[in-house]
Amino acid sequence: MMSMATSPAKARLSAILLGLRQLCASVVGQLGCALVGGSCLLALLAPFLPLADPNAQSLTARLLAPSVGHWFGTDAFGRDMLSRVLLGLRPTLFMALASVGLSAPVGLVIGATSGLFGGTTQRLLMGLTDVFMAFPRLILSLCAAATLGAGVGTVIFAVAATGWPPYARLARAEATSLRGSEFLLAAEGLGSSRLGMLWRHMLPLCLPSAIVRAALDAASVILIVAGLSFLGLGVPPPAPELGALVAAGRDAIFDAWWISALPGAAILLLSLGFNLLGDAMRDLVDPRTG
Amino acid sequence: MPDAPLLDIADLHINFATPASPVAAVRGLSLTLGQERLAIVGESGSGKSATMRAALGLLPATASVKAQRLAFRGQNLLGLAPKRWRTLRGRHIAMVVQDPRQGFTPVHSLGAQMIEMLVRHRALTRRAAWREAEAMLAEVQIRDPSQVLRQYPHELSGGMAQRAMIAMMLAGEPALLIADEATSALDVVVQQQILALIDTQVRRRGMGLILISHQLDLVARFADRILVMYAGRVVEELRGGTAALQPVHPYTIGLLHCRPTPASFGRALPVLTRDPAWLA
Repeated sequence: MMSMATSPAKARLSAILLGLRQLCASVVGQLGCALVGGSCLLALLAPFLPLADPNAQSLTARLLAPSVGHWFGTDAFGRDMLSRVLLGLRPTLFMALASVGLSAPVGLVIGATSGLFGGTTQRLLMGLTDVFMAFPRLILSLCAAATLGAGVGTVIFAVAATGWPPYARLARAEATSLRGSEFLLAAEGLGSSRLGMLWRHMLPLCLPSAIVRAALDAASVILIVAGLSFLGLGVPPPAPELGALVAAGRDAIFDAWWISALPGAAILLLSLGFNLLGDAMRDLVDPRTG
Repeated sequence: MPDAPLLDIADLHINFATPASPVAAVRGLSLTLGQERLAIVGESGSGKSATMRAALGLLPATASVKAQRLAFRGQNLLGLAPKRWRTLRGRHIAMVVQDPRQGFTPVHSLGAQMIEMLVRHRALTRRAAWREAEAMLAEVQIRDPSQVLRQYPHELSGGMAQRAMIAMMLAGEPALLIADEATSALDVVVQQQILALIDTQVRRRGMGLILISHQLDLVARFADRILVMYAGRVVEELRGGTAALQPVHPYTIGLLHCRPTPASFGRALPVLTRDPAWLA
């Protein structure tokens, strides 16, 4: 048992630590934390690691298989694939996290608003949500990114703009079930404004499920981001990016499998890590498995 | 208008729209309330809560309210703008809800919620609000207020939460306190304590009080007047302040007979037989 907290700040800290410990109690959680934590750490530290210059071309070292000198081999220009994959993690992770970080709050607010206010507000906002959900997400992101032109910002915007509807649905369902609760009645009876009710009394309660959803969502967002980059809508060459690296290797896939396969494996592990993490978090939040 | 009654309701009608046909919850209710303690008693669906929700503007959008007069201290409440309602609620009229532990938002500490309220209505700084919240909790007989303020609603017992709820409702120094089934979710011993506590505070502050309950004998001691409601109407008005009520209306008599007493122990309690004439 943990020692008694002596101040609210300490209590909060111990609650966070307890949550982390519970998260790592299962193999799924451990694996998820390790994969996500590990790749984030690698992405953060990549510029400081003693890696070869990712853009240094060498015509004598073209298409070398993985070896002691080049752990991940080299590509068609003789560039070191290890440094390209590690540095390629950065834009992929950044774009994925940025778009999740944009779409989750937007969806949360839209959903909680419509759930709390109901009526016409709800019909309009949820109608809009349904329209967005009617299209396959990758197609919609592709359209948005293709219309706006290639670039990091475009990808983030395109993925975020198509990613908020599930959050809105989730938050609306929670908000609707909370709408008749006595504490909202009491808050309104005490003179709370509509915005105050939404912000202080509704959003904090819709937050946990949105966070879980975000972790699970990050897995598919990574695939979409990498997919857009694969199609050439992401980071412009020669800067490395996982999806673009896979695309670069597809001409030589039968002679030099590593150019596509290793960045592909990185995408797989990253996506898997978020999936496992999200799974573990869902088990943590789900009261039925308490 | 200083001499205007606290609450003045004349010929109040509340209808709820349903897909089939509108349901009349309140049919022509009139009451005036001064600085007194009024109890409204009736069974579920008799319209007592709907009446009070109308006085707070908290009815759902499906409800339609019609009245000759619905006024608080002479201020007309019919068709009041949402913004004006917000300045009224909590500051001038406060309501204690039924289940105290459901009445606090579960994710904020008690202190955070009381401070939110004090900052809004009394324009205090956060530090002053904290001290005021401590004083308020002490006044409703909570030991160690500073500790309780740091606790979350689920950490409190029902009686303690209801005390805290009352403290929060009194924090805005309202002129009228509405206790909507404020003791129904509590056990019998705590019910008496809470009612006594409300009584003390109301007397000390010279507020008006409306006690809504379905337990006639429980509230009788704590009210100056008792209105008995049936099917959206007041069927009888009784003098309170005593345990020995002298009801005349058969519904009220029936209600009292349905309560278990030591004398009725071991025997089946009578069931209220309803006369359609009561509806007229």
